[in-house]
Amino acid sequence: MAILKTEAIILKTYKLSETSLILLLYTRDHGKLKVVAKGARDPKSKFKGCMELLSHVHIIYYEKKNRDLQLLSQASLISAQKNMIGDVERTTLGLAAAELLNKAVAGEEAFAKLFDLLGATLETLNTTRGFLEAVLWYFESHFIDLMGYKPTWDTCLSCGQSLGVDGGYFQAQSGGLLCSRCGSTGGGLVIQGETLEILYYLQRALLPETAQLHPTPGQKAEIRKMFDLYFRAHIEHLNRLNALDIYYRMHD
Amino acid sequence: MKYASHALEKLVEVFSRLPGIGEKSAQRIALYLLESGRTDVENLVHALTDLHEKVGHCSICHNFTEEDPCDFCRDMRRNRNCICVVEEPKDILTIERSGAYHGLYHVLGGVLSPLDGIGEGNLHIQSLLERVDETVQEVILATNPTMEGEMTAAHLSQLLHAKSVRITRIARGIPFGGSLEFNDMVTVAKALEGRMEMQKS
Repeated sequence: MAILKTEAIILKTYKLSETSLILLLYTRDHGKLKVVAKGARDPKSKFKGCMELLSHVHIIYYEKKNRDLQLLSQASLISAQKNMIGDVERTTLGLAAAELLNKAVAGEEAFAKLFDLLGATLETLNTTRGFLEAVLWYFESHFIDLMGYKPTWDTCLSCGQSLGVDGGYFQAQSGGLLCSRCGSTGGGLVIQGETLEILYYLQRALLPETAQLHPTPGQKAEIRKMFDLYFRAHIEHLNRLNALDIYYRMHD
Repeated sequence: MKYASHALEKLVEVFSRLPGIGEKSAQRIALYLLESGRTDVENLVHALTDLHEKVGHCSICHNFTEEDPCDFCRDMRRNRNCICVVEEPKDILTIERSGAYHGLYHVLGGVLSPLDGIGEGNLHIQSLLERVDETVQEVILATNPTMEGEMTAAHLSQLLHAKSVRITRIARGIPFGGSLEFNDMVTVAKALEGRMEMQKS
């Protein structure tokens, strides 16, 4: 049995017995990890205050190689996302990012860049004001990039022509867009030129700046639909993001 | 087969599914019942059957009850201008034990849980909004101080602000008999945010 230390973000919690919790974590050094925090729901627990969803924590745990569930020994808080507490919009968007990562990432392989992307997204949701859904869009567009299935945003999949003000037709399965000429026969989700500009902006902008975007309702709808179609097409077993459904229902 | 009897094995299995009961405890209870008199066992069977046949939910507050409306909703001695909103019926027992509250209750039946797809429509929120009329002066939001509990309280507060009612949230902070030194930073921060003026003695 090894004693390991790492940083982790709490993706999901499940109650176990009267006082314990099972935590699903995304860790910097060991990828996705499931641990049991014995007695964590007891008010006198040593884990008190650092077992909340989306908390960024430093953990020490006992690892047994042939066991799915590891044993948590210690946890201390790095960031509790204090401004998210009691804020429906920030919380649901943060949970949507955590849910996407949870559903798309399977194993225990370390991926520090992905860990940092999730951490930075949660931190930005916690601290920034403005149009917060764009922070999730930033996460989604960089997430698909890191996972290796970034769509071709800028040129037509069929003729290679640059896509610009005319927009294009999004083809989720093929991983990109068709220009207005090729798309008129090939079909796909219509994406306006201004919406494409937002997607290009998300690729190059700094994370906190994204909340300053002011998309029109039409652009919002196109971006939401596009990410939804793309994730369904490329991530196995992902029918929808529950947290995002709740966000749309409560926020729109 | 682990046990000499199928019936015993089945009973141990059923008891082990109860919260907080492991296989050993289940085995102990099953053996105790086996050695008990027939009357004791029949009493237990009746109690369990009654539980499902007689206990339902109050149509007003959604608490467990044998009569509809429940005792709390029918009791005219309770403060009917105040509704305390809780997640589960067991939270009512905890508040009642404190002896500090004498108003009415409303059980939500859970909290908003975006990861599990539990939204407003899955909770008793609409019936709460319908209950809060001009006779209600205060709604106390007593959901648990967890990420999801706080989110639910914030959402309820938003919905209730349309009505002319005082909305309060139960306090969070250092537990009685606790020590500042051993509390986490969120609890300490919330305790400082929620500090209160000391009354002149």
